[in-house]
Amino acid sequence: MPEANIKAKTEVEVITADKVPHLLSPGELGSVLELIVKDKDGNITEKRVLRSKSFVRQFMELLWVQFQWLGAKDAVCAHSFDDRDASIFGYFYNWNANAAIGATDRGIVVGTGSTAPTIDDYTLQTQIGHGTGAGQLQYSAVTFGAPASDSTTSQFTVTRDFANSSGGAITVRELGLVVRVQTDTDASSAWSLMVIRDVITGGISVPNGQTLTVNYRIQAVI
Amino acid sequence: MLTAQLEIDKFGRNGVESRRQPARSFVKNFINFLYTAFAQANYDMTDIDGFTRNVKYLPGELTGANLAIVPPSGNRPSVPIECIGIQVGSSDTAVTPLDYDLGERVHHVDRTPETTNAVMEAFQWSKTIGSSSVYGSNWKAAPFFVPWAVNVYSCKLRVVRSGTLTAKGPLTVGLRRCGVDGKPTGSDLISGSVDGTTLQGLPTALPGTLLEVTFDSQYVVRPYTKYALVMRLPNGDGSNYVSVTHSNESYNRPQHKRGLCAGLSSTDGGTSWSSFLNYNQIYFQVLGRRPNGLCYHGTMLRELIKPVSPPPDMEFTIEALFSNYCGTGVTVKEIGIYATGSTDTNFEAFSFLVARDVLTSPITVAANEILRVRYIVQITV
Repeated sequence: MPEANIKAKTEVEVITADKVPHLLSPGELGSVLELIVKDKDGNITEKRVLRSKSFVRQFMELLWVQFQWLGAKDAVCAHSFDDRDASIFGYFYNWNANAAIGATDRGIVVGTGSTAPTIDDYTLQTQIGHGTGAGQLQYSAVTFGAPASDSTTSQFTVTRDFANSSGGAITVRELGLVVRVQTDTDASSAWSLMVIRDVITGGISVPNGQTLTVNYRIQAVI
Repeated sequence: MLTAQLEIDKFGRNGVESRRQPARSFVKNFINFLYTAFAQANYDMTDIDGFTRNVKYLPGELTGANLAIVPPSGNRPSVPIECIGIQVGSSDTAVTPLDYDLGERVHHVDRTPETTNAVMEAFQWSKTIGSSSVYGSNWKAAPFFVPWAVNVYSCKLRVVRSGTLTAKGPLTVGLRRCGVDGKPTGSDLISGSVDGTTLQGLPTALPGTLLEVTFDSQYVVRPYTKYALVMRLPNGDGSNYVSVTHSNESYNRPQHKRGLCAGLSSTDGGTSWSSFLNYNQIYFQVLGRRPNGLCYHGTMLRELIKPVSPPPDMEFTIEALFSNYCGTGVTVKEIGIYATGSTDTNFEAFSFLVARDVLTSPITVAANEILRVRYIVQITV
């Protein structure tokens, strides 16, 4: 099936201090999740801003590894996004959420599962694939908004668009943030770990011909 | 959501004194580090000296480690061990996201301060000696790092005289910080002078003599930061001047600390600086005493665990111990965490403040007491 021409353009937005959303409490490091659905003309048909609830254990394991910059001999076993044991250690590629168009194993990913998140989640319950077939969304490249801060909050933003040209509406009920990690001294052996999983109450519908933009605003609040 | 609890316990003759409070502490530099890693992008960050450093997401396999809060494994450049991990300070200034250092960091000190001045850092050269003149706008500077915190009282330079200096004094030596480029910046932190009559008594032939310059006040320098002794003789001229001595090797190889501290020369009164030929270094001594402070025993991570009864769902502990060996009580009002960041500049690593908390009530660590600081980092789904 030929790829449909969805008129969605990824926009990198520099968030100024007066636009930093405040949903986290002092002392929290987390993320604010923005979900925006736009029609083919760019008109917003739905927008939600909510607290992302769910760093999962891989986030802590990566932080543990990176804080100590553990060597390969001291690697920590983590559960990869594709259900394998990943021995992770300190490396510069770790945390890489940069994903190309169509990449479904890194960056922001979406699914239809509605099971509540748990600390041990390592993958989405039911991931939506990339494409224009039934039940599929077109994954854009991931973009980033540079760090910004106001008097209490520091943040940066991870953004991805999901365009629907499947021919029918698709309801997104779960989201994840997946990052690359190094599991071996061989630079080619990059695996993926899911560090955040969120379930959207009631889901968010993306009608055919429309685009869902997901912003994870990673924040620290003093 | 990730949060942290701050636990502070002081162990002493009178038992244990404890503080517990939620940490509210991750500052923008922590977010900056995550951004460089998530986006795989270089990013300008402010180090603990207040200097902008372009932190590289991928500085190279064998260069420094980003976001390490304990000395990184492997053959990677790091920072002085006291400048990584948990830190303590004595300021209660409110935390802001843009804080780049503690308000007033407590220095790492492992003994009682000396009662008389001692040589704390020096470059002394017994091979071929050269000399370089100081007069008018021709200034010289000797950059240096100290190996530990030093309360600087004076310095010594090996110098010779040319001409008549009785009316050409004073020779002034200022202590200045060095900037991102490793060259002196800003005004004198402290300074001292030697009058013309004293200068006139200097020898005229190499190897010269050691001239002590006592500073008007004292200033505590720390190992992380690069400083310089900046010398000038404003009233001197091309016939009447002081010359500082330096190493004089002809091969182009750094001779001390891999060239990071090569002698510097300015012809415009300290506005711009260039390294000595072949990175030769000025003969100098820094004299002083250790300041009061606490002994930093290093930071460790403990117990990456899933508690049996959540919440939290997962946690680990960052812990550091501090001993008071200086003999004087030290009051701690703030806690912070330094992490390393890497640039391509000279394959150096730098320290960045990633967390800072002000204690709800200060805690005084008396002589021979031990302070334990713990951050319990937790996530709850």
